[in-house]
Order: sequence, then structure tokens, then C-alpha cells
Amino acid sequence: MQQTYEPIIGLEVHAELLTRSKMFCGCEVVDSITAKPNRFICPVCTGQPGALPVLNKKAVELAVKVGLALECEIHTESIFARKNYFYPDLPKGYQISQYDQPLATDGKLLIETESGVKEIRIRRVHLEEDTGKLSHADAHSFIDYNRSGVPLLEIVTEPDLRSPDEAKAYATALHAILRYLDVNSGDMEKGVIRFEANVSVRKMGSDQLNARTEIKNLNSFRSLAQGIEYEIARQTEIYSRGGVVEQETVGFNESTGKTYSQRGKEEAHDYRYFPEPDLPPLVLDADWIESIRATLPELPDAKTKRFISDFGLTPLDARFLTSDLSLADYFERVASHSKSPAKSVHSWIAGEFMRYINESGIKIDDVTLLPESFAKLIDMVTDKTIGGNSAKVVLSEMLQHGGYPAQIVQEKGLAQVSDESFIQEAVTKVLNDNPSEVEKYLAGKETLLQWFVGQVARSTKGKADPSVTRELLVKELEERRR
Amino acid sequence: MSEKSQIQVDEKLVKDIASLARLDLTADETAMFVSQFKDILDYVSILNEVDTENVAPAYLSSSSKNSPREDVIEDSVSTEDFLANAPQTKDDYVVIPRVHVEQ
Amino acid sequence: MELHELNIQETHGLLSSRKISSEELTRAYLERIQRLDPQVKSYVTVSGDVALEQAKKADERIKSGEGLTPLTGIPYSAKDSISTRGVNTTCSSRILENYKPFYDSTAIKKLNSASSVLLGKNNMDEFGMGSSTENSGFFTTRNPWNFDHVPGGSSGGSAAAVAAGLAPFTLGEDTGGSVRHPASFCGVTGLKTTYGRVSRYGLIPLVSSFDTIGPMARSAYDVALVLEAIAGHDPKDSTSRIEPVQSYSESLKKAESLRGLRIGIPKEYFVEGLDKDVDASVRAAIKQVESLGAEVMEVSLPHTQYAIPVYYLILFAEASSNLAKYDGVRFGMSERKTGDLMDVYLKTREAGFGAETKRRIMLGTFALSAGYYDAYYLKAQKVRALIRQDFQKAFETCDALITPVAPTTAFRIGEKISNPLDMYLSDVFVVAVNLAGIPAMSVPCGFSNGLPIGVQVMGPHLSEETLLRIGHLYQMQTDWHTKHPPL
Ligand SMILES: [Mg+2]
Ligand SMILES: [Zn+2]
Repeated sequence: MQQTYEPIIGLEVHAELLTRSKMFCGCEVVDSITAKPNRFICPVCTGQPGALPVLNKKAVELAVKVGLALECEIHTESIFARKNYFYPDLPKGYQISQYDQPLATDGKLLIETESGVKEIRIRRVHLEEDTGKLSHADAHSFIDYNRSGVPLLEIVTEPDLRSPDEAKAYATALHAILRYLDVNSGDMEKGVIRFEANVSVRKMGSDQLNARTEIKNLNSFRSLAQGIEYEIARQTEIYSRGGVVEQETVGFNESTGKTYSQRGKEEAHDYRYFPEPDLPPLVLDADWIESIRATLPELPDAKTKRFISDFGLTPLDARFLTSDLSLADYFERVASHSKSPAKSVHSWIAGEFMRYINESGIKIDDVTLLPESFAKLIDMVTDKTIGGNSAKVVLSEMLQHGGYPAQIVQEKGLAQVSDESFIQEAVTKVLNDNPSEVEKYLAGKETLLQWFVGQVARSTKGKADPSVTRELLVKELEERRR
Repeated sequence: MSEKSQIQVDEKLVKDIASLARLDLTADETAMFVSQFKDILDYVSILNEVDTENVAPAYLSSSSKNSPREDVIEDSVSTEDFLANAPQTKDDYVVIPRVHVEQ
Repeated sequence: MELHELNIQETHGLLSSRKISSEELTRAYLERIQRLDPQVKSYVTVSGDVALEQAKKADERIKSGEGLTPLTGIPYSAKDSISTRGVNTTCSSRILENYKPFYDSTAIKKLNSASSVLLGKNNMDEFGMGSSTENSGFFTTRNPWNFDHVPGGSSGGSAAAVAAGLAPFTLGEDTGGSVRHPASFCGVTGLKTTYGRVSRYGLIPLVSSFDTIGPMARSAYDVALVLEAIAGHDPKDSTSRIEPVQSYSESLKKAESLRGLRIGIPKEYFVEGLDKDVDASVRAAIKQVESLGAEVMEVSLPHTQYAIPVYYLILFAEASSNLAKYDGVRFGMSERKTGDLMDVYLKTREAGFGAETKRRIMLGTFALSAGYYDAYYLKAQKVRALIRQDFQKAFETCDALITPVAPTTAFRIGEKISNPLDMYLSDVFVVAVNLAGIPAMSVPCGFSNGLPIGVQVMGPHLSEETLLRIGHLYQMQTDWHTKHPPL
């Protein structure tokens, strides 16, 4: 089926902007998951009759930053509009957004796909306000307006994506950029980035545009890919049995991994947009835009290129590190203190370090291990002061309790020994203790050599230099053959 | 340049608009609006006489441009004051009959 | 003269010389309201307790002699669309019948800081939709000059309160004539301010791009005193003007003649349908202005006939959006019998809004809906640009324009209510001003069959000083504004 139908996917991303106060009022922006309900509110963000919006300058600045990073055209005059619809989390009966004259248009973002780098066109970037939050129990719904009026940036692509993986790659790349620009906290689990996907499928090779569905409630990279995947399969199935897909809005259920129709309450969406009379046009002077451009940091693509050229990393390794600004920064600091090849630093960070981050749930920014200490430890492995396994023990100790590598190595007696008599003693003991393995080895099962190396390492608590160990083992086993 | 409105004002149109505007019109109101809409739309169609080919719309009454505020936190109002007007509340939430379908 | 017949300046004299306390003055007004308002019906809410509390504070301030302004201790009322903290603000709509704002509008805040005394809130056409107060969700205000007639609208309660001596001044609100029209029907002086001159923060909107708060009082001089107190840039209103506020009353004190002023008479405003007495009174007023030294010339505002359809289309559109928040969720009426959310919306809005409000919400929803936007809303905004150009051109050669306010004097209660289009047409001379965002004032200039007639003076943006000067010098020579209805 995948060969005969191709999906056409466009994404709308809503990202909360990192301002202190809300979009149109001075109420504090707080974590609406933990804050007590209806504490950070005022006449403006609760839609009291007569209250008026006043635009937050910082929100504009952050939006311009994103527009510039996505290589958009920034419009020196943009206007706000009212998007009219009824919903209880929307206190005014309309959302202030931008419509036909948005802040920025016509940008692009490069993503990595199986077949190489692909350009995804950005249709528009605009400012709008978030709604309140609903929760439900029994016969009632409960409204909290703390989140109402929090600034949102909406970033819309052209329908350039062709698979769930591409959509995920785009979302990941955009997430990284928003972090790099420090315009969004990146905390997906707190809902600070939300996706909506427009999905349609068509016969491969056709240039017809079929009815699309708009998938809402996609709040993680995983949901995004799953929801799109499900929709593609559903629509493909409908077409392949001669049916017709209806244009509609669907929700995504995280627990079933399926989308569901929202047609029940749907009426023809008619948002009756018109220019917001309470806000004059937003005029950006060129100097201001240029001063914002001057604050743009090195972005993921540039950083990747630099990591490849400066550190000699492979594109894949470099891209892994630059996918997250904190990770890239940490890597760079460790690498700058280390005398070891950058490749080793990368493998320690991508391996043991990331395993610890993923298992512990600690954020990279909260890691207390000094990059200098990490670098020293890697250098100790490089110059064979300690073995790799010992280093893992030391790293784990340092990540959890702090300390300096040399000190921990000494305390734990982990320094590597290449003294042959010490290792010879361990080798002889291991071979004596395992006569049947020796027999099998001598009978031709030479892969057991690695097992013997491991046994020696274990009995010496990793202190034995593995290359000396291997040498002595081969020598003694050959002696025993005679 | 028509003098009269070209739009077919009928009960269906009035009912569709009422549903968009969340107004539960009575049959009498619906019938009354059908006839009044015709009159009013006929009347405003006089604007078709005016050539606006090269005219930019004038949305705003003053020529002011947006002067955004600094990103400074101001005091919020008390939850109690806000909830005092609410028809139903519980545990500092505004309460409504359950929303059945997620938006 | 009785207390309720004094103007602000005279009352201020009594207060500052401590011949009378603000509390005594306030009690006198409250007593008069209690006695007469059951017939006039100009108040929706009388805030007696708040008033007396504020009056006592004003008296302390007067005693201390510190920070006195011409409005310290002076009672006033406000149209019921202007938010007052803790005092019901209903827009004369059932949907807001018990709504008490938890914040003050900026205009009220400014009067509070001057220690003025809020007597209560005045009746109006629901959300400002009407020209007679017959569309109030509660009751119709009567014209103090003749109870069988309407007071005009939509700030009809405010105009009637000043005319009947139930408040020395009020804050009205003008979206499409709502200050000037009732001011002319009731024989008081009313100023529609330049859009953005007075903050709209806390003013419950009808049409956000037309709404203006404006004073109504017994003289142009009193209006100037109130305007000085409430005007100015407000960081909470992005559409408010940043230009500094002039000292209007000081300039009136110095005004002697209108020499050098060029007054335009737009020929499109003197047409068939204009009542003979109104025509004669307005022309007499023009002569009077000319005798004060002004140069009078005929001008043309060629797009005048399109002002009403443009005004109403934009009004319908913006109003339909501004009234969406009355949904029974957070405040106001909420019909919850069925336990279904959609029913909360439908039943609340059906029961809470009056017929005219529903009609306008419907028409606005239509004008903005997909497929009709360009033909109605966008077209109206384009013609609006032409109407603004008309004024710009006229003001290249004139400093002000003089016209009638309404084609007739106050009509009878019930006369136009059954025909909405007929009612819309009574706004013919007032709405263009709102489309252009310029200021205009209604000044009493005569009577016909015992009902007042008003003359309208319009000027370019921020020309309030000129308009007040014309009105003030005119009133120095005439006594129409000093007449009181026999109550
Ligand atoms: Mg959006
Ligand atoms: Zn707020």
C-alpha cells in the first residue's frame, strides 16, 4: 500500500514563548500544571467586559528571533485579528491571533531524512494567545485561566513532509532551534510545544490534493509520528477500497494510538476573522529587527558543521550532539578540557553519560559533574591509567556524588596495572579454576579468549591492562596445549 | 452595481447564522429576522454605488501605532474577586456542564 | 437658585468656601433622585452608600485643603457601560443584571482620584444599541421635557439625569451619536471626544473602533472641566492618544471671540426631512457664531449618504464579536437547567439579550462570515476611508463644521421601535463623526413645541479646545443651556 499511496503532511506548531508576563497583560506566566487555579489572572486575561489588550514587547522580540532563525521575511507591519469561536477555555469568545498579515512568512528549515537533507518550507510565523485549561470530572468541567493569555508562537509549514519520520525530524529540529534561541523551555511534558498535523494521501505520482484531516492533541514527538502514521493508514485503507476521505478535524488518543473523529460537535468552522480594533498595527522598525538579528546564537546547522570540521566528528555524531543545545555545550566544554581525541569524548558522552541522563531523568543543565573532571577521566583512559570498565565506575560515582577522578581511582584502587607478574598470577589462577573452558579452548573454541580476559578483569577488579592480559593468556594457553 | 442585495435570505440562512452566534431563536424571531434582514441588506447595498477599486480599508479610528509594553509582571487580581461573579465554582475553578468532546 | 440648578463651577465655589459640604450636596441629589427618578427613570443603579462614603472622603480632603480640583466633592453619574468596581454595571442588559466589576475603568479611576462622588449608573439602550433607550433591558427613560417622548440614545439616561437635575454632570459614551443625540433631545451640552482621547479601559465595548467616553453637563465650560479630569494617554489602552491634554477651562476663561475661525456648513446636512424648527434654530446658531467673528462658508462632504450603512455594517461586525463573551460561563446570567454546555450558551444568550441586540449580533455574524466578508465588512471599511477623506478635505479649509444633531426633536416613545431601519436613520447626522474618529459637540440652540434642539459642532482630531471655545462663547451669548424642565 505504501508504494501506491503517498502522504502529504503539513505541521502547525504552537510554542509557548519564554516571557515573564502574559501576551496582553501583566499577569505572571507560571507552570499551569503546578500552580493553584485562577491565581495569575486579571480583567484582561479573564475576558472581563471593558478590559483591553496591550502587547508584550518581549513576545514580539522572541517571535522575530524565530522568524529570523527560520530565514523568514519579517514584515515591518503586521496586524492582529480576532478569531471568533465559542469555547469555555476562551474567555473573550475570540482569540487574538494574526491572520492575513502575520509577523513573518516564507522561511525554511532543513531536516535530515533517509535520502539526505531536505528543505521544509515555512509558510508563516505568527503571535497569538493561549487559552485557559479545562479539566473534567463526572458531569462537570473545570476552568483555570492561569494559562489564558500566555504568548504562543504558531509556526506553520507548507505541506512538504512525506512521512511520519520526516514530520518527527522536522519537529525535533524545530524544537532544537527554539531551545537554541532560548524562546521556549522545550519541556514537552509540560505541553509548551503542541503539534497539529494536516494529513492527506494521494496516489503516488498524482498531483491532486485530496481532502485532509487535521489531527489535534499531538503533544509529543511520539504522538506526532503515531497519529500521522495512523491517519495515513486509515486514509489509504479508505481509498484502496474505493471510499472517500472526508475533510475533518480529528483528535488523537494517546492511550490507543488512534485518531477519533470530532465531527460530533463540529459545525462548519467559520472563524469570522477581522482586524483586532483594540490593537493598532504592529510596526517594527528595521533597526530593531537588526538589533534582534545581532543576538542570534549559532544555530544547530552551523554548530554541526563546526563540530565536523573542528573536532573531526562524523556528521551523524555531530548531529546527535547538536540536536540539544545543552548536550552540545556540555560536549564542547568537556572536549576543550580533554587531550583525548574528540571521537573518544563523543563516545563517552553519547554512551555512558547519556545512559545516566536517560535513566536518572536529570536534565543536562542540572548535571553537577564539572566538564574538567569528566575530561580528566577520559584522558586517564586514553593514557591507560585506568581501564574502560573502571572508568565507568568512576564516572557513575562522580555523576552521583561528585569528587575528582584521580582521587576516586586511588580510593577504590582502580589504577590500571601492566605489571606482568601481577597479571600473570591472575591469569594462572583463572585458567586453573576453569579447566573445562581451557579444554574447550584447546579443542578449537578460540572465542573463549575474550571470556578469559573478562574473568581476569573481574578478579583484578579491572586493574589489569587488557592488552597485557590477552598476551599472557594466549602464551599460557599455548603452553598448556603441549 | 446592483441596487438590491443578491443574497437569498431565507430561514435556513438565519438559522445557520443563529447557530454560529449561539442564539436559540424562537420561530417568531426567525421569521421576523428573515424579513428584516432583507430590508437591511437591501438598504446597505447602496454601498455598491461607491467605487472602491483603489481604496485601502480604514480599520482604525486613530493613526496610532502599537506601542508594546515592557515584559514586566504586574499584580494579579484575587481569585475570590474573580470568582464572585461566576455562576458556579468549586475549589477555585469556574465550573460548567461537562465539555463532551475535546477541541 | 436651587442646588441642582447650579453648574460645576458654582457648586465648586460653595464647596471650597465650605458653605456646603459634599455630603450635604450628595444627600440633596440622592433625595432628588429618590423623588423624581421614579418618573424620569434615568438611573439603573443608585449607589447611595458608595456616594456618601466618597462624599465624606471628599469633605476631609476639602477640609485639609490639599489636592483640590474643580471636581472634588462634586457628584456625578455614569452611563452603565462604564465599569465601576463593586457597583453594578449592566449595560442595561438582562445578561449583566447582577454583574459587579472587580475593577474600575480608567475614567472612573481618574474621577475617584479627584474625589468626585458617584451617584449611580444611568440607563441606556442595551449595550448602546439604539437611539431612544427603548432598547434598555429594564425600562425606557423619559424625556424630562415631556414624559411622552424619548430622551434619545443610547446615553439617554445620562442626558435625562443632567436635564432633570439628577446629576450635575455624567459620563456618557458615544459610539454613533450616543452622547450628542440624547444631549440634543434633552437640552444638555454633550461632547463626543476624539477617538482615543479618553481611555476606553473599562468601557464595555459596543464597537471598539468607534467607542468614546464623553462628558455631558449643563455648559461647555462644565464639559471642559470634566474632560480635563478624564482625558489622557492610558498605557492600558493601546488605542489611546499620547498627546498631552490641554488645559481647556483655562483657555475658555481667556476666550473672547471667534475671530479668525473658519466654520464650514456641509450642504449634505441640510436636506429634505430636516424639521423646519430644527433647521431654523441651527441656522440662527450659525448666525450667532458668525456674529462672534467666525467666517462661515459652505462645504461638501460628498459621501455623507453612505455613512449610515457603513456605520451599521461595521457596528454589526464588531458588536457580534464583542458580545460573544456573554456566554453564561464566567459572569452574568447563566441558564443551566439542562446540564448541557451548548444549552448554557444558547439559552443564556436567548434569554439575556433583547431583540435589537440579537438582530445586530445576527447581522454582524453574517457580515463577517465566510463568503460575505468582502461584500459587506471590507466594502464598508473602504467606504469608511472615503468618508474620512471627506472630513480631511473639509478641514483643510475649515477649523470646524456646524450641522444639526438630529433631523427632528425627541420623538414619541413607541414611534420608531417597531421599525429598526427607521430608527437607524435618525442617526444620520451623527455617525460620520465616529467613522472619522473626530470630536463633535452638541449644544442646546432652541426649542420646538417645548422640546430642545441641539446644534452640532465638529472638528478635526484633537480639536476639543476649538469646539469647547465655540460652544462656550455661544453660551455666553445665549441662554438655551440654562433652561430647566418643569419637574
Ligand atoms: Mg493558532
Ligand atoms: Zn492577566
